[in-house]
Amino acid sequence: MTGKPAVETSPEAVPGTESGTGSEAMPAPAVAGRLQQSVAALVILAVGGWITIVSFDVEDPQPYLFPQLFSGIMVALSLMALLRAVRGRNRTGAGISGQQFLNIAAGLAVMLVYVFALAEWLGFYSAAFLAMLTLYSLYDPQPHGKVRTWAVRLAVTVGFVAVIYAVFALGLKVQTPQGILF
Amino acid sequence: MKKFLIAAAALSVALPAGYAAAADYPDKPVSLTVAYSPGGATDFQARIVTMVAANKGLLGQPIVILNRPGAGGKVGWNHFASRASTDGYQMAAYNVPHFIAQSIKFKTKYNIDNLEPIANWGADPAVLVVNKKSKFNSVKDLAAWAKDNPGKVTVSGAGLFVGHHIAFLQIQKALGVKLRYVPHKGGAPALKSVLGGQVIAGVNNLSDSYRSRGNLKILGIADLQRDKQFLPDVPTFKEQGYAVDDSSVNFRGIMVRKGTPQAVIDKLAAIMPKMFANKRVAKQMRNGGSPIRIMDRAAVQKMWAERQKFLTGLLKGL
Amino acid sequence: MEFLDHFGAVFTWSSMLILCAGTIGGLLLGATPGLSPTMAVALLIPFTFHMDPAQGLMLLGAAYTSTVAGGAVSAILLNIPGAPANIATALDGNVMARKGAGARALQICFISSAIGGVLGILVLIFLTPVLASWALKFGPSHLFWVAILGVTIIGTLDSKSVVKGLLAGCLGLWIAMIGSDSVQGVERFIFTEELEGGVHIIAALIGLFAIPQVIEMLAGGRHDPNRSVFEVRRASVWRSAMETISKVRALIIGGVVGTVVGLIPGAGGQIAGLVAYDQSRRFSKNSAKYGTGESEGVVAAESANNAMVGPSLVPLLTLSVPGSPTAAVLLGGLLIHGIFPGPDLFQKHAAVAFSFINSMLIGQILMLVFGLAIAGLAAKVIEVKPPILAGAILVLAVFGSYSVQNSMADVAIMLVLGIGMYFLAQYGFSPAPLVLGIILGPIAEHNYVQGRIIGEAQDGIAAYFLTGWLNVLLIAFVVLSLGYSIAGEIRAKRKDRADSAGAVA
Repeated sequence: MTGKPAVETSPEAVPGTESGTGSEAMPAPAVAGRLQQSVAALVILAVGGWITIVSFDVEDPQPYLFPQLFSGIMVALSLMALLRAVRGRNRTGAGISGQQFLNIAAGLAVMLVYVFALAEWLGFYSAAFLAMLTLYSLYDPQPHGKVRTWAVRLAVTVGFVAVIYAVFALGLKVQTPQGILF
Repeated sequence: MKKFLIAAAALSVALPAGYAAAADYPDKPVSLTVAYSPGGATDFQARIVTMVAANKGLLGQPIVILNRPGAGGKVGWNHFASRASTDGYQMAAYNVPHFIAQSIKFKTKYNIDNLEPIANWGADPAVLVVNKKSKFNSVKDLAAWAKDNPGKVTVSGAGLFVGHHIAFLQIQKALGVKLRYVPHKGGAPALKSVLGGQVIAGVNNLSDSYRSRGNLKILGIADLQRDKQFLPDVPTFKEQGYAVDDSSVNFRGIMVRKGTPQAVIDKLAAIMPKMFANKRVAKQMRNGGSPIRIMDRAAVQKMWAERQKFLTGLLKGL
Repeated sequence: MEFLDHFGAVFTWSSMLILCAGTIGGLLLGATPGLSPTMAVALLIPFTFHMDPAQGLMLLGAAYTSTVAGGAVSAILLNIPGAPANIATALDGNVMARKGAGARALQICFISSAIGGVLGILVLIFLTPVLASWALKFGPSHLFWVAILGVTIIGTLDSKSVVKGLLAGCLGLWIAMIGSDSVQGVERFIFTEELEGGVHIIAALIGLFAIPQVIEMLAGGRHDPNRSVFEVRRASVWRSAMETISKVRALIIGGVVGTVVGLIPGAGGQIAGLVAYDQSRRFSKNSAKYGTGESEGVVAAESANNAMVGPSLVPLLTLSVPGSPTAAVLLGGLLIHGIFPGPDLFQKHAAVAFSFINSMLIGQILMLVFGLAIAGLAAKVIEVKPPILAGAILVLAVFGSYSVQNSMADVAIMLVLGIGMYFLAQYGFSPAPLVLGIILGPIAEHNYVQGRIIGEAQDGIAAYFLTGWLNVLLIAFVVLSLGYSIAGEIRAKRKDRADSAGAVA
């Protein structure tokens, strides 16, 4: 589902790809609205524009010959994409609905905290344990008030981290940051 | 491993860095950062020279190789000079003249003043090579042709501001003609360009050129004396009348960060040359065609200072 | 036929034991995210210190062949390509797995791997002397055109919109430029300290493929009404074998592309799978089905990946010039045993050289056997519930990207690229062209700069890049490939217009 447009043509094959609250209620592939598509094209245009400016505004042009070459092409292409988006001609990409964004927000937060705050501070393995357990608990449809479901969650997470430890620390002798815990 | 982790954790919490008494140093494995990728010449040699570290009478603890490649070594050395511990448990491999030239030419976090050499294990001089089918049989032939065809001689080498490039600059100066340096992404692709006839000549490592000698002509060695072990018949540049000394020789050895306790440095400086001289190490190095040159700490300190002075002068105009 | 005489050395108990260990180890290492074949071989070299040369090399040979195939396992099951070579495998293989055909996808993958692999090694055995000098002919101008040829398939690769495909490719080219430039060492586009060493291809690969997958699993929320339990259908090995063999065209394209691309030093096997996948789709009757779980795509990609293994060693074994990063690591493994590859390798060390090659041949068969044995079981990974799988893939991605070069910066880059890719994917951008941009950018740039220097010294830059039969041939391919993309875009537009006209009416 990593952005394979092909998947969108067969939504029944991959449940969960289609946002039910998509901007268009068509049975065929959902396509994001003009506004979203235009914003997406604008973002790419901005990146391309920035690369262009950086590449031409240099003292020594030699290392930037190649970036100069493709950044121009990139700006031209993103202008084409923008034009298409504004005219509503853009037919790929389902966009992101409000509900979908709310759903992933918690997960994104877990990932960012895990990688940027915990991994080096706590230690690689304890951070992995916390991140996996949190993600699992947040998105697990099983009841959250029962001891049994928590026991399952704990057991699965501990088991997986143990396997990771066996593979990376014992097997491959990877030296991970140690942090305050482990 | 677990014991080691717990010990390491306890140690890092309980003791201020650098306090580990030299008497029982080392009591856990020591790491050696290699600023190049696994499989490269530096990594390959580092793995061989450290393989007996755990023996009695040597370190008594294994040395673990940590690869941190990128940007011609800059990434690994920057990380080492700014983040490594100063308790003697984190060492790094150095490549002279690379790291000194980089510290002069770029804004790096490392220079010879914030690093402490321990000992040197190898020295790989640069050689000038041409394809077997080439019409040049000596440096003189090449120099004569280059005089008649200024700017037409392309010379491959591994990147800018590495041993090959320094040797190229010296050769160009000694020949008194303009040559064109074609930087490659490493010694192997640079050699390939000579074998494939894409460039007219190449500056490369003695060890790699020696292995490909069936398809190459090795015209000269950029060192003070001939290499008796591998290429006794190839003359130095000096012998052929060109003023090229050993400033481009690629020295490889071990260093630690400044601030490491003197007692630990002394202990390492005493053990490492013995480790490099180990019989098994010597045999494997010979098998791999890697020239050994063991130098103690004092000799390396002198060599670093000389290179720093020479390279500052050479690179000033570039 | 000299290699046949040396089979005896392979069929001893101790050798077979080493081969089996190497194959199983290689499959597992290859399937671990972050461990490319190059790293796996580098990790195994210390184990060969204490073996005799022939057996040490058997271990490395078997491990090399099986890690390449092992990378396909995580590509198919988790959508995490183990190495750039496996990107194309993920495109259809992962969709198959999610449709319940994971076991069949794995079986087909291993069978086509073995077919391609055996073909490649036969090329190595019989054509080495002929091909070695040919491989050396590739200079900067030719490699530049090879990279541009790769760029031309960016637009059509796994993307419904050529414009968006090309844009993703441009983004990839830019990402590849971050860090020190390879010629002068000048730092470019480094706006945060983490980017100092540039973006490592494996870290990028893990981020771009695995992280969007993780986020997608969470997109339905805790009580996802659309969440269905993935089932794994059993698959018969016999039927998978028949299916693979029936895709003759894909097998031929995969084998030829893998062999040819594998030979070119510097372009390496990284792009063999993608080029074969793209070519196979262009010549296929089912081209519309590519990307929706078409087994033909898996066949083309995997046969190419493994066909590349043998030829990629040709320049190494005959000229001591490693043509790929993995070959460079193998060179270290040979040297440590005092074996200097070169023109006289097959005379001086015939026993060792042939046991190495034979071990790769047997390794292919063992890889097939073990691979088929685990396919059914491994496919069950897909049955794990999404909240668990999401966390597990996240943790694997972090450990995998860290262990590439022991760098926390790589982990940060991996995650940021991955999250960015998720959002881009929602607007029709795909990771495959982006990754291809990252791979091709440096090849194109480096050879362009080198070619300029050499061209200036010879008859001028234009003459250097545009003359010579190999240049002309490659340029012809570039033009053909571009023409095909443009024709496809026009056809799509016409169809689009006809469709919307139909909808209005």
